Amino acid sequence: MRVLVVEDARALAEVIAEGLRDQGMAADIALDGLTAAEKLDLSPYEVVVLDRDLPGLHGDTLCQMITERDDRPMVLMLTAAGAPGDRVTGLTLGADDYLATFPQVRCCRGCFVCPAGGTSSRH
Amino acid sequence: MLVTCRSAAWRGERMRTARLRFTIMYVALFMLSGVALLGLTSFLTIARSTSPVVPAQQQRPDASAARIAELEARLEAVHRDQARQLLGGSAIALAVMGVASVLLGRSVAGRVLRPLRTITAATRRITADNLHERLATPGPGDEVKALADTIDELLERLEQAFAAQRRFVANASHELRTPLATMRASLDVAVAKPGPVPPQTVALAGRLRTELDRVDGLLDGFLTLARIQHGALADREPVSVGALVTEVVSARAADIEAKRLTVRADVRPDAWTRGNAVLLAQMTGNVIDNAITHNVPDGSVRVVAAPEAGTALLAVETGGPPLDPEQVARLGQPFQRLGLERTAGGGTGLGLSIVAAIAAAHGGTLVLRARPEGGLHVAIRLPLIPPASREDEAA
Repeated sequence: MRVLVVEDARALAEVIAEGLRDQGMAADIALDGLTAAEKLDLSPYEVVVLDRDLPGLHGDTLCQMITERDDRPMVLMLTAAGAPGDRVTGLTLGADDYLATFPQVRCCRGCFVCPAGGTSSRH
Repeated sequence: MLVTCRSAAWRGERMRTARLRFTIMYVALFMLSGVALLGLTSFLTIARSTSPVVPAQQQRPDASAARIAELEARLEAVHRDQARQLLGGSAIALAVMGVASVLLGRSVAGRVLRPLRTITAATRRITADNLHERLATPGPGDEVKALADTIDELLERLEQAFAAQRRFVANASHELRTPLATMRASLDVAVAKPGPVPPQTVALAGRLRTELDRVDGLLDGFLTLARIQHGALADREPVSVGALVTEVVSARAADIEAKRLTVRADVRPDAWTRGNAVLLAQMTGNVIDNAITHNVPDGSVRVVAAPEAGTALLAVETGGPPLDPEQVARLGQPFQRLGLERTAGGGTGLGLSIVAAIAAAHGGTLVLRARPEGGLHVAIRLPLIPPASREDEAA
């Protein structure tokens, strides 16, 4: 399974990628919205882990762009903002789930092995 | 938010004293001028009347002289009578006008003081409700307007200071969350490594994760507080307090069972208020969480959601040992806890201050009381909305 991690804090992105690789997934990193868009064009990804507060292309915009694609990957939004209304906004924009704080990696793995139509329910 | 009855009455008394002072001053001035006028008039009148009538003719024969003397005496008597009458009449007029001046003076004093009363009331309302507003008094550029303008400048500086502080707290908390997320993720990744993980690592990771979760909870609380205090509550809709209580109590069933608490919920269907559903849910959750966390095992919790005297009341009562009323009164402040330990019993110490902030943002109040029979009584009163409006909204 290929995962694209879009997160502007490099250390956090690398930790997440490492965790995903430990679970047997292929993980790539994009540090801003534009790079993420480029990478999505270059190769297919099944899942995108997306931070909302991104420099350049905002996470919300990127999410909408992703959902418009034919080969639409599953989108997990994560952010440090965590305002009560954000979850609804995130899901409305097309994210498949919304992680207000980074969850335990085990949960992430559980999310990914769900069948394509299902969405996980943590947070 | 809360203006105590005591200070409002005291301020009212002070206003009445100023008006009384002005009235007394006015009446005293009037009476003084009146008496002075009276005195002057009598002096001039009487002096003239007692000045001897020119008696030039002393060469008259005796009979005429006697007649003249008699006439002079009578004239003098008449003048004295007139003077006395004038004096008496003036005194009565003065007394009557004195009474009139009391009423006049009181009315004028009230008129003069009214701009001050208006400014005071407006300022009090602005600082209580909405720091965005200004007095913006129109009118001539006199001392009263100068006072009002100075107060406006002060309100402006106040608002900016509060806004700056809130922005800083929000930004700082936001900045802290990313490194925090990295730390927590690192711990999770380390523990989830395939293959055997050394037990020391697991133990260390567990301890660190607990503390980091606590820090995250604190930051979340700071951000919430900053957001609520920022003002404008978006998305107001009719919310049933009773429904919130029922939901929270059932969501916390596991915690309640763990402590073997007895929960009595007195939920009425007609306690509705208008506000932000998410924040109100958080408020209800916090106050019930508080009752569960800071409760003794086998303790009791009583929750009431009902209309009361024009407000929607949400009250939570816990049993337990008697508490210090002074400490209880301070509990609405951030980080105030009963007891000595900073972190006793878990929790961030922000729960009740968030409750207070949400209640205030909705135009409500939070009252904390130590129960005489022991335990804590928390009462949140929110503006009650009549059933008609909620039906319209639901339709």
